[in-house]
Amino acid sequence: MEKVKEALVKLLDKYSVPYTKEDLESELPLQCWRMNRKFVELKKLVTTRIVEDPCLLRFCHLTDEKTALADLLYREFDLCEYVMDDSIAALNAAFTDGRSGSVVVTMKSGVIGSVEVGNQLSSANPEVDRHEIIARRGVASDIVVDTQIPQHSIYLYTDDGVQQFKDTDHELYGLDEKEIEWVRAHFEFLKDKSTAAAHQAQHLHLNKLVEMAFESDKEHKKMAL
Amino acid sequence: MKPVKIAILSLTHGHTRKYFQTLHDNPALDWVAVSAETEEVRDVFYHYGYNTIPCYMSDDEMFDAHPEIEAVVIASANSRHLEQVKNCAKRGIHILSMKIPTFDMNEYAEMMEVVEKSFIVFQIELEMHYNPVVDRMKKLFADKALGKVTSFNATNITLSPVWAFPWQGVPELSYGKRVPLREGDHRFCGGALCDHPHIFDMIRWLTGSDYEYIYAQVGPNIRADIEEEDVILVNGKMKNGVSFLLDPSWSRLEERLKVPAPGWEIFPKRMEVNFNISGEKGVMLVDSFGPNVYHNGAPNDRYTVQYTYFDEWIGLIDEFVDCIRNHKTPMINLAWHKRTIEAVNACYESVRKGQPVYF
Repeated sequence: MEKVKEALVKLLDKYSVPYTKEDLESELPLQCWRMNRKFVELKKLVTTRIVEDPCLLRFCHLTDEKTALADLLYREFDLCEYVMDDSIAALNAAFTDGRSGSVVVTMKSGVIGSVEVGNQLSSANPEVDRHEIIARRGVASDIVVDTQIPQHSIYLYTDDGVQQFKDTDHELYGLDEKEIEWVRAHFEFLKDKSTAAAHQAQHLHLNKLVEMAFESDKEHKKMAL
Repeated sequence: MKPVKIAILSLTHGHTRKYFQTLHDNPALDWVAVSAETEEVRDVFYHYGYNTIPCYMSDDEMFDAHPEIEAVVIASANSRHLEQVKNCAKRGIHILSMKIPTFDMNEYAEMMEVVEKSFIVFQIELEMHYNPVVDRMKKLFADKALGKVTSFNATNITLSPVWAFPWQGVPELSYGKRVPLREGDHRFCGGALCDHPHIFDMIRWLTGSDYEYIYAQVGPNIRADIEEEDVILVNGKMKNGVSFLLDPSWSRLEERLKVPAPGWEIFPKRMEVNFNISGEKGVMLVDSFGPNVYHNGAPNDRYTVQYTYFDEWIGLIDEFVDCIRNHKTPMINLAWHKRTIEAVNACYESVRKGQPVYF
């Protein structure tokens, strides 16, 4: 945590953004993944109508057991809403042992989406996620056609095995993708604190959706907001 | 730190638009003005929405109206650089130059002299040095992750910018003069090779060595109607024994747009800088501009790479400001870059002679 705070302070100072000690300690839920450029670009493809009239989302996120299923659902539900600029109106979930499963969501606009989640990936492997938007005109995705896993920028093959690297931010070089998301999210927030209420409201809304998903799984019932 | 008062000259270089957001956002800069070479160029500039920045139709008119300008980005055809450098040096204005100061080594020497005498900062825009993937590659080299490097193969392949930035298709404006590629060839120097010095620089930087010899071969043009080379392959050896293969071609086809926009590319990825590097401990594969987001939507319904992580201009400008305010010498300065330009010229010499050229 200290590393990311240090990076945040450096960025705030560089761009002359005012902040207090309390700002750095704030635990406001900021939905940090929205700062990942891949989601910014996917959203842009939708909002600028490069892909026109989306109909179906295919989202997936698989991790090791250190990430709770609820956290995966929280993130992916938020991404459905953020990328589409829409909100989830109903869902039907099917999980097994609280470790893996899927949710079919219906957005207010009528767009439907599958959210595959699981935390049974070996901890020796990197996370796998995929976000695909299928529209009447075009498909957008954060993985390359004809592949199943996210790519990296560098592959180093030596006798020690394969090492993979994905560095995405020169200003924050040395931080991993999630740390960069955290720093960028807090930086953006401190530039414009007026978004605090929206973040808090979204947090409550997402918690409700996650709760509904587990309820849906338990009751074998589609749940609507 | 007091913001650097900065301007952009000419606005005709393909990289010009990359600076707009950085000059606008970076609090270390105060973007004062721009000069445009033509009314058409000026209109394109205003199309990007920076309407509060005054645009002048000549450099001198701009400098006279804004004596507070401390630094410029020279964003013009290669053939105009010497004249603009002299004008800035005379006024004590710091310079961020496009990637080719000039291909004429006499002009290059003159530039070095005027820059040295005027004590201005002269930084050359080789933006790959501020790319986060290259940051990692530099670290892996510093850590000797591959042990002794044996071969260094790299691409700097793109679409051709000549339809949007016509000077790049005119040998006199791109290469500085009309020089036939080789006897009996109807084409002239000034094409893809002149557009892609990055890998010629990066191999020097990463291996810490200098060229021993270089061989270059042009192929038949993909675009039969341009008068410069568009596909060219280069190989050779560095003095430390590292063999290399460099591909600086315009080998990705494009729609012939006058202003870059979505749908410019025909091949899905409009620009690639990749490295395949071998060493005694293994192999490194590098994609400096990947991964990304992908789509097959508007305007042409073709599979397209939507560049996703692309922020080189931030670090580049940060270094420029640091050099100005703290009296430092830029990483890529005229003295360092000279050998890279000589290597490009050696490629043309090799094409002409049909044999490797020794340094």
